[in-house]
Amino acid sequence: MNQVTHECRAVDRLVEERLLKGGAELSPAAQDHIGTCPRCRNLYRTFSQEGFGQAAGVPGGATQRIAERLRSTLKPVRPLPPSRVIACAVVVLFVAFSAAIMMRINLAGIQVMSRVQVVGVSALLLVGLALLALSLARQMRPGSAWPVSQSWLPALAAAGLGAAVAALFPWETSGDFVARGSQCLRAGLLLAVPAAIASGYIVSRGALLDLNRTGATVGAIAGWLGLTVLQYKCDLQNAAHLLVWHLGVVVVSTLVGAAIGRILAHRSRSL
Amino acid sequence: MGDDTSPGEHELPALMIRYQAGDAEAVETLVQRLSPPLRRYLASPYLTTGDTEDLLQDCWMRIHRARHTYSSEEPLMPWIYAIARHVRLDAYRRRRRREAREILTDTPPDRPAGTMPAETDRISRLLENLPESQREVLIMLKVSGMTVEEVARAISSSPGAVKQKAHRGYVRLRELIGKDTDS
Repeated sequence: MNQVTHECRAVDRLVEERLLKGGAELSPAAQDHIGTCPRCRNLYRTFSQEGFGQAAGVPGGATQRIAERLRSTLKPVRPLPPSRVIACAVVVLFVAFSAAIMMRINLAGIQVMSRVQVVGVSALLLVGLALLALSLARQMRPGSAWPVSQSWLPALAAAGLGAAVAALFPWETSGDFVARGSQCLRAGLLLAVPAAIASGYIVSRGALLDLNRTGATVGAIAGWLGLTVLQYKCDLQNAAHLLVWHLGVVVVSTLVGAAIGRILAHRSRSL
Repeated sequence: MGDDTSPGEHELPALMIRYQAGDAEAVETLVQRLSPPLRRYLASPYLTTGDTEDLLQDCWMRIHRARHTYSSEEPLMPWIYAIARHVRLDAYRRRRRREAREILTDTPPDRPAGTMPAETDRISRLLENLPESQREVLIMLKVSGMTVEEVARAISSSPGAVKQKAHRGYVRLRELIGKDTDS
């Protein structure tokens, strides 16, 4: 077995650097070493243009057939607007839709909450909405950059709001915890249905690669609308009620959205 | 970035914009230029040459249907490879489901004979020993000449995670090459 020397390790580092950054030149010493060490020569050759870098050819007939097929249905298309524009449209629609609902109902929640609670919760609802809308817009466009995992975004948004609720609202118990709570959950989920349909329509304009994840995001946005309306309408503003039943709307709608996405993905693969 | 970046690679986004505008010549140039690295990415030891070409065609059809989602503000290769990755994953899941349902009545034939050049075939065999996540990162970096940031976009991950996968894949491949040399 060949002994791995100090020079071998230097070649290892150099080949890896070329892999990640490209362009790193071989020093004369490394070139000499590659000439004498079969292991390093093999490694260098594998990661060179003659080795790894060489893409296998495609028969000319195959590329012609593909190009022919694409040309047969070729029409000019209007590019999708930038992600920030789509995200803004989702936010505007969301705000308009929730405002239209809130104008028709008694906003008892606002009267019960203190100014700090109203400002704190409203700010977090808006930040969560903006993040979810941006995530949705980016999922419509393959290959978009995103600093955090989009799969975890609904959970992160809900956890952030949950932490704020736990800190801002009193922990009181009421005798009708389940009865009042289930009413809120049902109302929130009913509100989420039209929001999910509207979001689903917007998102269908894009190219969706992960229907499971997109379904979860659509569900989370829809549930976020239900949560927003409930937050201003419900007069039972204690932390336990808000965490279980109001945030529960987002949890349930996210799970339902993910399940629908999964079914759609399964069906599209079965075709 | 790989050292095999084709000279006209910066022209690809311009060709894509012409494709969006309905330019047939741009379609042909894009298909000719991008099909070889895409085919290499889609190829798998479990697929025959015909299956790989079907996948390549499927990939181009999806690119065609999604062409309106490409933005000239964004790099092209991550957009293309995100779609290709999806095609590959779908094919893999379909194959697994089919295999779970099938009852074999005879010994399956050996894997299809490779039609790749000998060196490429040797590397493909070495790559078979790598987990899929490391294999795809190495192919995107070396065959397609994408940067770490572009690969991160294509696989919906972070540049740090891509570097880690590339490093692990490289270390594993280096061990295999060492053994290959010894034998």
